Amino acid sequence: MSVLPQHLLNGLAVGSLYALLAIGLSLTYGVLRIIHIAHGGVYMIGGMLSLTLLATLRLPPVLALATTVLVCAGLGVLFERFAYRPLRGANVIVTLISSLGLLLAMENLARIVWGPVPHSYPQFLPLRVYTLGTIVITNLQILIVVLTIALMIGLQWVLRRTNLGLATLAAVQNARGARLVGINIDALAVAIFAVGSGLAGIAGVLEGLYITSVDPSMGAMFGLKAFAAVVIGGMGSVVGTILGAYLIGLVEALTAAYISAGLRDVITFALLVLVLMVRPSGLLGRRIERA
Amino acid sequence: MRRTYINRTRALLGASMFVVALLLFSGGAAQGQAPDVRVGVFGPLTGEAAADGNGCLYGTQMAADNANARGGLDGRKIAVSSADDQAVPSEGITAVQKLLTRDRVTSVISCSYSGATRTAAAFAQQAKVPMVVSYAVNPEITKAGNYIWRVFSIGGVQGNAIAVMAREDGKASKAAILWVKNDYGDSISKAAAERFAKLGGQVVFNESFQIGDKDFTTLITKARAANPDVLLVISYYAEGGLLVSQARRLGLSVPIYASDGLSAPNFIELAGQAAEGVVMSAATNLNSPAYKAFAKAFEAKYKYLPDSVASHGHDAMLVLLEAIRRGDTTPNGVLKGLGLIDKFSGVNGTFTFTPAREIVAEQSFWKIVNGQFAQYKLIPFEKVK
Amino acid sequence: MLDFLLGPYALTLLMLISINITLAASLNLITGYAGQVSIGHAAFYAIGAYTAAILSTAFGWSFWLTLPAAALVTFASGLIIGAPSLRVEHDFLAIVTLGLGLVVQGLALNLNITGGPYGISGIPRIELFGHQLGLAGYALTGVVLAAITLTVVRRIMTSRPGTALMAVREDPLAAEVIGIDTARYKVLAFAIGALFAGAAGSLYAHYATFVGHDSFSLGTSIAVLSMVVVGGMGTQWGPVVGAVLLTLIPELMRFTAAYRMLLYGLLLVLMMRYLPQGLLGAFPARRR
Repeated sequence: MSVLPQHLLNGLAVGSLYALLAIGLSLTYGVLRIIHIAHGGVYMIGGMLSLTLLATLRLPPVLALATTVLVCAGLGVLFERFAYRPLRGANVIVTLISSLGLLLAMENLARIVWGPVPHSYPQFLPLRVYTLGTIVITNLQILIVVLTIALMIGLQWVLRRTNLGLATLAAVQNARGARLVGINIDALAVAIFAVGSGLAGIAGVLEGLYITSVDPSMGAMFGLKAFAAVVIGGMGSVVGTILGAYLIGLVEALTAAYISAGLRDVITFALLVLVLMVRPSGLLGRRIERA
Repeated sequence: MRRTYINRTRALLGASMFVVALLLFSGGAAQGQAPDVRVGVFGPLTGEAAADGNGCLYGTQMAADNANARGGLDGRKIAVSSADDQAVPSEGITAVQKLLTRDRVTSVISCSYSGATRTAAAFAQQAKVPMVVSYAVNPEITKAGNYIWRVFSIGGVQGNAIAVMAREDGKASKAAILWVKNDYGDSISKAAAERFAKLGGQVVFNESFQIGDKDFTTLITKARAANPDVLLVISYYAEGGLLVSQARRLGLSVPIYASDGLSAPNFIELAGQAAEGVVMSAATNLNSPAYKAFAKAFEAKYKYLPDSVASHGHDAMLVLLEAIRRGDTTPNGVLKGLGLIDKFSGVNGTFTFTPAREIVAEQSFWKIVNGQFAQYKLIPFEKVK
Repeated sequence: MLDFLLGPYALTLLMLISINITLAASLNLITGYAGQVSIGHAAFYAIGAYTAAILSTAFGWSFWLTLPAAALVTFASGLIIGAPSLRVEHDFLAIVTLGLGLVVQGLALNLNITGGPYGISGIPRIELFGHQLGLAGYALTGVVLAAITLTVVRRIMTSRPGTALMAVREDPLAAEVIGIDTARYKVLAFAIGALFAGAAGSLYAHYATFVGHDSFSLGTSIAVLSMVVVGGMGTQWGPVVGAVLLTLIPELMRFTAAYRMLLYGLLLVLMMRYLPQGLLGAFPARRR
């Protein structure tokens, strides 16, 4: 039983990465009703690009991280501008297919640029391992959890205290109403994609550090699970999304710990299906008004 | 009324499009009698497994090029036709059908994983075209029929060999087995667990993980709690590299014996320092002059060190060329030739075929020393049957 | 005759296209007409294929028996899975069905009855009057199955329940107000769509003679959904055009090797940007 805290800790670290990705998905769906599956691809680009910056160009870590975040944010804005904006108001399936196309294109482009195999990720932070009784904690796990929580608190502050944030929340609640009171949805969309994609880039870097490798296929399933987190937590609820992300992280760790690692995805997605059947709008979600 | 009209136009449009498209595909490539001896190779040339498919294809290509440089087969050149299956079983059908029916190949090489190879094998058997499997380990593959041959040991043999090594070389008595959940991991790990117990050892931990998994901390935490004195890792290099590095990071420092999936340069890149001292099944004798020559030529041509899939793709082609020499260039001639091969020496070593078209070969093990693969042990086949 | 006309490679593609048309047309009933986004259609394809595989290898059933059996099993699973799923908030259904697809795939990998990681091989080929079908026979069977699917979907859509279904898609609230039992029609459409996917699965199993857990992946579901959308959702011939194009385009692009899937992805993006209604589409909301 003494290993339980260890499993919980492992789950928290993975849940943090899901949370960083899920935020972007939650906002893009909440405001624009886009199921942005390509978000996982942006996260992958974050991992691969930072690999090149760190290992090949030997940039200092801070500079590499900043460049990665900027490029990912730019990529998100590009997608919004050229793939999603022309489709605004179209059936949600249309944006979904477009998004799947983007993901497919990004994955295969990355396979051409970086090769299809995983690459070892430069460990620019010296690893520290702390042992507390039977529990082993690494400084990376602490960094991931603390950084994520700090970013989430910052995001909450932006959402609650700035005009942009309040406009976002208003649009999540009622997009048509927001437009009526003069909120510029185009500008808002750019902001949301920039912030969400930047966070995805950070997640890609953290994943590289934590897992010690990155590869062009890393984004697809990860993105789907992050989306599952959004749905479980309740669309349009930022707190619910973060909760959903940690829930999935913990369920995965505990499944691997007490049932079987080979059944992890089955159980995660079975849980998703069950939650939605019992609570069709997710744990903390409201029914979304159909604009 | 108008609606019906529109529907009819659309139906006509659709139907004509369809016919035109299909006719595009009906032109046979084999027209204008090519004098080449055409061998088909299918495997994952794109997608997640593309490195393995392409590496294996390079291996076959090199064997064909070498033969052509020496004048080919009685003056006829060997031509390689390739087809991509993305390691997806249903794509395996289209890929092998393209080779069989459009390129009209005389024989086929599987450079793919077990799933796609199994679907393809049924079609090759049906078409009565010989197929040589280069590295897929699922024991069911060759059961598709007498046209399907394999130049790689099946999973069970490898599992036995790993257990023998852990028990005899590692003097281990408590094994933790971590295996990837698919036919590869299942067949090797089952044999390893049984043989390890039969040799008087005890399997204290035996669990699977998913292909594509990256975070093994939970699994390692559990394995560590079982207090093993050896770790058997049955995996591909992507998962294996991370598993080994995370195991060492979390303080699980017992010796590691692994399956041939880890005998790829990428494993060393991924696991880094943690790779040091790991022993793995490798299906190739590194010290043989034939392999050294192959590796040198391969690296010169493709700018990277060959791995097991490349050298086995190479041997698959060499076996086919030998079969064609002994038989003839028709599919049935190739089959007859395959049956006439008694003892074959390729770049990976020497083997004979069993009546079930599987190989009997020494089992080789490598060890990572100073960040490089080094030949470690050879176990005779009798010991791992 | 078909052999003579087309040659074996084209027949192989015709077979593949027929299966894809069947899948796309059945998904069109669910997504195009009933408005339920599903990214898990491969789940029913898989259930049908495994049903046929198990019945034929363990009990010696022929294709002519496993086909209706697979259809029945998938119809039932469609009802069982559909009923609670359709309670879910509209767009979330995409994620629920996606989850279902992954769960079915995971179960196939982990259960004993499905052969676990080894799958099931040795599924007998189709026999007709004591003769094993050749490639042309398979292609013809595929075409017949696709034609039946298209006809049935068309019949349903021109019947009263079909009209009700479209009313449900256009305005669920209004449909409910005028007394249409929306849930019942949605579930029924879901189950009938599942039925034809199951039939396609049975045909696939007897064609490939091997089914494994990775035979029916998320990629399959996504490809089928793309066919429906690219061809034109809610149109009669859209799924046919989509299935033909999206099956042949990757084949045509084989020579581009590594760029094949990159171009395919970009093509989807461009299609949606410039032809969001699909090639044949006029998504009815616009037509009226």
